[in-house]
Amino acid sequence: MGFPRHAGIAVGWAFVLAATAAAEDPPSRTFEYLYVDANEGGSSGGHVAIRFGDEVYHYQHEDPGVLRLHREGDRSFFHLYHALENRNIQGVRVAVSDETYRTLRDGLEEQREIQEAYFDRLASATEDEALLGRLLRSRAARRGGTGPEEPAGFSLPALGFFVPDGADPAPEREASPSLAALRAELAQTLGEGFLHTREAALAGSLVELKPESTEVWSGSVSPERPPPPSSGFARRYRDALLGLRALEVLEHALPLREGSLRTGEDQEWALGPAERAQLAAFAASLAERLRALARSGRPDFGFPLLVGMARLEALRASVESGHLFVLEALSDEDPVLPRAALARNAALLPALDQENRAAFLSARQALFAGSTLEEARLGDLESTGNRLLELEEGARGLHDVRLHPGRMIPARTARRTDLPELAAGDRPLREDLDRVGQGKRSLEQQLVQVFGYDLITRNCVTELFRVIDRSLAEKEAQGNATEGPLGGHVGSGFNLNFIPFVSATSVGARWRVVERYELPSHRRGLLSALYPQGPPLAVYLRESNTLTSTLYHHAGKDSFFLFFTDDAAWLRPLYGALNLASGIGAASVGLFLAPLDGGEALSAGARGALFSLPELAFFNIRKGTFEFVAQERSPGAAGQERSAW
Amino acid sequence: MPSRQLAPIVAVLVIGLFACSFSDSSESISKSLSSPFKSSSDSSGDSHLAYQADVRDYTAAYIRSGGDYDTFERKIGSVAAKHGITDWELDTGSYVAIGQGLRKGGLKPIELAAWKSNLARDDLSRADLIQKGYDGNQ
Repeated sequence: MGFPRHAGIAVGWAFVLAATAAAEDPPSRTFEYLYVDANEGGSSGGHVAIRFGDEVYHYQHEDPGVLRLHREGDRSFFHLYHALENRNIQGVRVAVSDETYRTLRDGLEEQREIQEAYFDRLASATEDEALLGRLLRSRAARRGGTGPEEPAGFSLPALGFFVPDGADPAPEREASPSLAALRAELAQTLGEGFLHTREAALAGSLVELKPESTEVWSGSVSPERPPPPSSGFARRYRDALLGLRALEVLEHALPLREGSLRTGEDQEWALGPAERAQLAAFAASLAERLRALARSGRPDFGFPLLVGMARLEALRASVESGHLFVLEALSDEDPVLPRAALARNAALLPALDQENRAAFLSARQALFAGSTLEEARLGDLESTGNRLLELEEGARGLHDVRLHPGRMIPARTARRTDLPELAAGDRPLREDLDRVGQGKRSLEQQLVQVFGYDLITRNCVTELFRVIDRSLAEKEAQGNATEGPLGGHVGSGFNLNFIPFVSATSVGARWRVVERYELPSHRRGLLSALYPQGPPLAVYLRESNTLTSTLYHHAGKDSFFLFFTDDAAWLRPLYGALNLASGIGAASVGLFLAPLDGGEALSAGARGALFSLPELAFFNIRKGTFEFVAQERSPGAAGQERSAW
Repeated sequence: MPSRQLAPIVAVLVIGLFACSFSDSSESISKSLSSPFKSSSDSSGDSHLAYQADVRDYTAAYIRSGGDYDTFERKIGSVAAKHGITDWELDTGSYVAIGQGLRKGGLKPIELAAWKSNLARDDLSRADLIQKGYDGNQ
């Protein structure tokens, strides 16, 4: 399925030239205003977004009742909203000058960064409160002789490649030859005592750590300026501890723990002699870099050092065995797709496996095409390799499938309970805990006040227009600056533009639109492709309902319904009545099943009945969703071109 | 059903039609069994440009809001990690982008020396890269 980009541009361009003849800076670029229509669940309202090239900006309503601006790659946006959530998307392309394009994009990016900085401060304060509380409880437990009462431990990313969870040291094993060699080279160049000296310095600084006054929130939140930067006490503690533990791993040349490496059985995992030689050269350059990291002044050097040492081991294992190994890059904290969902969508698995294999082979080729080791390329190999193996093993029924979008960083976590003590006494620590807690609560309240969601006055539409107005006004230094740059003004004052579909209509009518397109929902797209393959009536009858459809398989979170009404405008009330009856029936059965299924069937039936009501009045919300789809069916895959003409 | 009972249901549905999506993207977006996110995560030139753009924009924002060098390095580490990079010091593009960000953020030339000294430490090539970024050279 294509993603329209050029159709109508010639006609549109003539229109633009005429409309902007008097403009000082003629339109030379375009951005897109996207309207995503409704579906059930969390998406029962419409949604809007703005696309600049391959980036999409959109506000989302999130816990705790705030509206946050996100930036996503266009592929991931379309994959989620169009493919998985099965929603129709209408887009308009708006022609603007290069300066206006940059002003709008920078304005949204600045707003995103400001929000992110505030919510990162909140996350940091939450971590500080948790660490201080943990340290105090550990002290109390030790005094009471009850031992560590928090089995969860303090998460130290990438340390888990070498050290287990808990308080026990790594078990005695044969030292890693590559880390032993690294240690020897460090001793040769920096002296025998280098590691000890640096460890002692880190341990000393760790003990003296305490929350700085600048790390405790006491200011006020503004949507127009970011908070003062702060590292955060818990993050400084984690960085120092990771640095210390990384140096200890190196000092003792700890080998990788079992389960740290992954490999496949197929031919693409086998290495030829030239590839082995190349990996050996990569390992040598990585070792050199690790020596630099071990003495780096970067405060968070421990994490890259640990990841690098684990990667060195993976490279060594590959070179020695002639079989490509990658680090385990998925974690137990990643979301899991249950085996049952895989079974429901078994027909899709070959296509997904093919995609994963192609991505892995592409990453493999890119890695070996380079003359030097690039972390990004190695990261791609790890990500695609893990994804390929995870699905293959899941398809064989070995385990549930862990999911992780994008490039992964291998970071096997060790949850350690043996935390170094701080020099500060109980009382100062308790005072710090109180201050941190008060600051955190104050910040949280302010964030809800400043960025809080409101159905009418502050939603995904109003905030986009607000940022656009503000950015253009700042640039032009005049109140109504949006008339020229966009062709017309669409605001969110006393009008209905706060409603997503109304805003899309207003944009289409007032901005300088040079192209319009509509992407039918994922199911409708697949259905269109089916019609030429058989008698249309038979295809329609088969695919019009959830019982016989070959395209749709009931997704776990969908409500119970029988008929699709998004492509049945005239039959919608009839189908709606049948959906309503079936929803009520399912809910009735669910009532009896509730003790057994935790109320799942009851909920699905009740929601099924609820979302049938608009169908009685010719409105459609529910379209069904997909648990996963193959990539080539996602329209975003075709949308790689930058938006400059 | 009496109209009085139907009214709240219809009201809820109408409001639902108007409302923006409540995000469950953290759950849904991770339904990635294959690699639909390759455009933002592969090692193509575009991806590296996106990394540099993020470093540049973050640096500019940091300059405007003020802060120490340690915190800056931690934050750049976080920005790099979002692009799958742990060892950002090794990537020469990082220093060029930092230089660009320092200029974009309005850092005066007289203040540049301190940033170069603190970030590049004793590595002159890194200082040169920051200077190149600041001067507008790639």
